[in-house]
Amino acid sequence: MSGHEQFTAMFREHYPLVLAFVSRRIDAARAHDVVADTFTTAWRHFDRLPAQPLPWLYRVARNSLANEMRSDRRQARVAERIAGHRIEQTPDHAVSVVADTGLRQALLRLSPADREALLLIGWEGLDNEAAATVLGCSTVTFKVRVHRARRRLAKLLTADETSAEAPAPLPLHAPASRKARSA
Amino acid sequence: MNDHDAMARLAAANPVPEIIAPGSSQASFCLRGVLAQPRVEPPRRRNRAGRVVLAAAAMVLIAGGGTAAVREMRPERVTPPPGNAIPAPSAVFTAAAGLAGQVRGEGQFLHVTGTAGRVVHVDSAGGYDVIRVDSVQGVQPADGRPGEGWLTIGEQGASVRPLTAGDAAAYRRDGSPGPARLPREPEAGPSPDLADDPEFDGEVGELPDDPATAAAAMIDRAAGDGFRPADDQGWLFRECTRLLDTFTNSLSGGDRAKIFRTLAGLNRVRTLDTATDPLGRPAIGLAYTGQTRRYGLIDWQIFLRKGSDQIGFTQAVVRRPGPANRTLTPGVVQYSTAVTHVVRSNTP
Repeated sequence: MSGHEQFTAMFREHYPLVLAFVSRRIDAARAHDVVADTFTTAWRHFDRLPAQPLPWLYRVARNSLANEMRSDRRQARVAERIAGHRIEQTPDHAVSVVADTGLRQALLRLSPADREALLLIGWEGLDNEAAATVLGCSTVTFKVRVHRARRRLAKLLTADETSAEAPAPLPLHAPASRKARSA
Repeated sequence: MNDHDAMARLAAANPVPEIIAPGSSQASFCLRGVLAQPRVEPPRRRNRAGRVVLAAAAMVLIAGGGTAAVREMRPERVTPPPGNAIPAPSAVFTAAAGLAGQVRGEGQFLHVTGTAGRVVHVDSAGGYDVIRVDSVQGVQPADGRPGEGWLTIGEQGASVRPLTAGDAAAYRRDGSPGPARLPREPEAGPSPDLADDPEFDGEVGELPDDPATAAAAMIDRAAGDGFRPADDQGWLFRECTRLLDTFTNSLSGGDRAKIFRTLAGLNRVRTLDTATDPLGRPAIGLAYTGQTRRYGLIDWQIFLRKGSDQIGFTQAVVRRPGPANRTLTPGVVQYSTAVTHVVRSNTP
């Protein structure tokens, strides 16, 4: 089998997974560009691809996504210079597309590293070893990180549910100046 | 809620739960594009002596300077100039003229990337201002070589942000329009023409070498087209800096030097008291303040990369708004352009 054929087989197997991975983290308009970047890198270094290339592909895609984010931040800095003041940044795409409001708020309160660890397990369905490869850390480090991140997420979601169920606090004093106005 | 419930809730919120079909035309297009790219050859082992020779060669190149084909404009550590060390504009332009004739590196084409930002006023939802930032990519024949270049604005991405908190509320009421939904502007280049200037359309190569005579010839050319600048110096500053623009420049080194010398002859340009451009890169800033009919009093600023004849940043700062930008406050940047990468290549 030639290099082209081998790469095509690898591409057909992993393209949908990489596209889904990227689409969860960036808007659809740019997802295809990031995927193309990812597979171009894979093609250029095809000789060095591991036997199970998916975590490696995710890792390359994360780098390409980081480049996109840097570009966004550069554009934001230009906008801020023009505005002359700080402009509120939009949260990660992966968080902003979560429809579950409570979960979205909880994810926003996690650190980016914790959040990504959870998403690799919860959305990509990776095992610890593959997820560690994606993040470029050891499996042990990843296990500790994801264990803590799960606990933090559960705690934040519990706190959110508790506050949602609790009745609104009553005012300690009635407003003094509110009087009925006679006609 | 325990860890497992939390993870189940996270899994249920997956925004792309389905696997995307691999046989789509988009996938085939992507595959064709990827396979058309060259592959990297596996690295060959070199012996130690070879590595020493290469390292020595690299040191010679670094020490010699000026031979690098790629010039990337990164923020560097900046030492502010000592007091009273602000050079006169004429000295800055004359120094740039001396650098302009030097050809650096190989490659017939200059690939330039960067951004262009501008304030856009939208009339709907009660009226509001947004900042639009577009990516800019340009390729020009280097050093005045014959041939045509190209310029794209916004093709590699664009973003929109409201200018102020008040604008943000109106922007949301208007449905938070993206770049494609913003009103289109007639300007073709990265810098809008705030002063309604006609372009100098003569040949720079045919201008006299003497700066004062060259300036007079440029104005005569404009006057011959029925336009006489109300402010000769302002028009010359804007036209000369436009001719030197890094995104669109196609002048030879000699012609660039001629334009820099013409700029050195202007006496209402001032040097800005800064050692960096607005991106924090070492640079010398030069400015000219002039009145416009529609945009009020504007300060046109350019930033030359330190030790270079290349304009790395330009901006137009509103000093006093006019009828077309009356919603802006003094100090707002009406537009800016930033050059981030300049690469020489033989690929057009």
